Amino acid sequence: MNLLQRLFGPRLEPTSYGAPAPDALVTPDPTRCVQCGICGFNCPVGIPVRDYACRGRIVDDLRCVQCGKCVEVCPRGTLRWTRPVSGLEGINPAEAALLLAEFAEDGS
Amino acid sequence: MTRYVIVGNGAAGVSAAEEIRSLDPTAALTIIGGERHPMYSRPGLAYVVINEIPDRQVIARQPEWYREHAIELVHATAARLDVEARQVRLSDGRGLDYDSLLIATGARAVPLPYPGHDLDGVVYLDTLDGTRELLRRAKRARRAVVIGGGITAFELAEGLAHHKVETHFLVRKDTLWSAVFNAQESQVLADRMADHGVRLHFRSEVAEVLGDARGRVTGVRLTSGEVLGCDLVGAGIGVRPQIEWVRGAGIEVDKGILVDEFLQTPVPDVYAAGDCAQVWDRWTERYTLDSLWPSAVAAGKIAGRNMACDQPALRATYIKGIPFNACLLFGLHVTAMGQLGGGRNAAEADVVQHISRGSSEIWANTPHAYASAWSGSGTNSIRLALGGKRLMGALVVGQQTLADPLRDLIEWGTDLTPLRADLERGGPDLSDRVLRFWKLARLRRSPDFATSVHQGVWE
Repeated sequence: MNLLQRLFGPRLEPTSYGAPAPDALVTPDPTRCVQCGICGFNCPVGIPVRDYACRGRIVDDLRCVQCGKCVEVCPRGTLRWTRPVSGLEGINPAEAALLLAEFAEDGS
Repeated sequence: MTRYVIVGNGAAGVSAAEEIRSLDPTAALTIIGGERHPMYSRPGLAYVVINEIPDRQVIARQPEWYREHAIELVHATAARLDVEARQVRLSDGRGLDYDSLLIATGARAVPLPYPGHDLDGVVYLDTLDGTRELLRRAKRARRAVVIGGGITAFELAEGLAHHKVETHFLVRKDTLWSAVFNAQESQVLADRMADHGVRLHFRSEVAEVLGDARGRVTGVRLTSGEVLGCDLVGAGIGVRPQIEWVRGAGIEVDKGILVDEFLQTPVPDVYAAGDCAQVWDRWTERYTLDSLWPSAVAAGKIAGRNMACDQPALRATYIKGIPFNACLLFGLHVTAMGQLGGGRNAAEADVVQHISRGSSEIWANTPHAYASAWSGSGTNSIRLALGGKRLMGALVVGQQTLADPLRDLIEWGTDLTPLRADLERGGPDLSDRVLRFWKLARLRRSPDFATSVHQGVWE
């Protein structure tokens, strides 16, 4: 577990591709990675993104300029933007209550 | 000092080596690799062929990595295994003694089963050298015929078309990738292929590869008698474990090398992992091959750990995940997961393919009653294969928002009863409803959820 995961806990909420929040970090899903190296090849600052991706480590390289190129080019959807979240999977109580009512067992 | 020998320099072998080295910093560690390259990404070759990356970029571990980890990389082919003498015999006559052995020799492309398969001009997307050869030939070739029904055949066709080779793609049946796609999904990909200039020939099967007096490919003859002239034949009809060299060594071999949950063979100190191993699959309840790159990485790590671990309590078990494969074909993202085509038996697989919409029967408590729900708009679609009240498999074409949520729902075994009406209706709203349902399912699994309900946060 790396430093960020220790600080914020493992739960991370995806944000949309290409439009990261200021605290968003590129996060790999190693079960998708085939180590092809497209990510690192397209990185404008030369981060070896593959080395992070294949080990499932958040790309916490200080050189990252959050351009999102690696997220965009990965053919297998390995890389996402995530940000640290708190509380219930990043879902606020109002939305949670809505979801609960929507799928109530005795409902539709 | 323990001597570890790993036969195979691919995903499983290298991942095992990393794990062994992290647990045993001083052991002697040797990897035997038949190709004269450091470890490279074989799935990445598809992106070399379409010029997304230069060929050197697929090298995933540089020579320095082997030095830094004190791993001796022997470029040679393993020819024979002697489990009594605990020795791997190399094709050059050398013998390597081991205390602990991992067989991670992977799989290779199946040669075409037709006369003329060995003619000059039959190419495979299988190895780095083979891919370089393919690219060299694609520069000169005018016309190519691609044979095969799965991902590799599509990647070959995309690559050849990218290099302006007139590419003809032969399909045995009426639809593309019929083991996975339904008719609509097939049409979406067929349109993409046509956009890329690939010419599709349905209901076409090869009888023979034709050649000239100098042994070069000149065309293919179909079973219909029709002859298609070409100077390249791209073959992507499947892969087969490279296990011939262990036959007769006393190791149990079926389609691959049979291993237990520790990835160990019944022979002491001999393990197998990756494409060459046959592992227990709790989804189909039988021993199956597990020919996926991320599976090989995961299995290699577990085999490495078990090889280096002297305390039985610390041994790790390999649990094969749900089948999951994400790919990019002609610019179209496709993710197939779980049981879509390959059910418990052939008849059920057909049911999954052909029932287009849910019916009330899917909610009956018979676990093997399959049905599917489909939702799509334009070239984006999701198809869900349901078994009883649970999701058994899914296919996501185009937009991939639902790929991870669907994998979660399969893995969690979530009861989909609250989605019943949506699944029966299908249609364009289904995707959004499934996404919201997954959010709720995730919420319910959150360790904080029970406490928050208890504290009345929701009132």
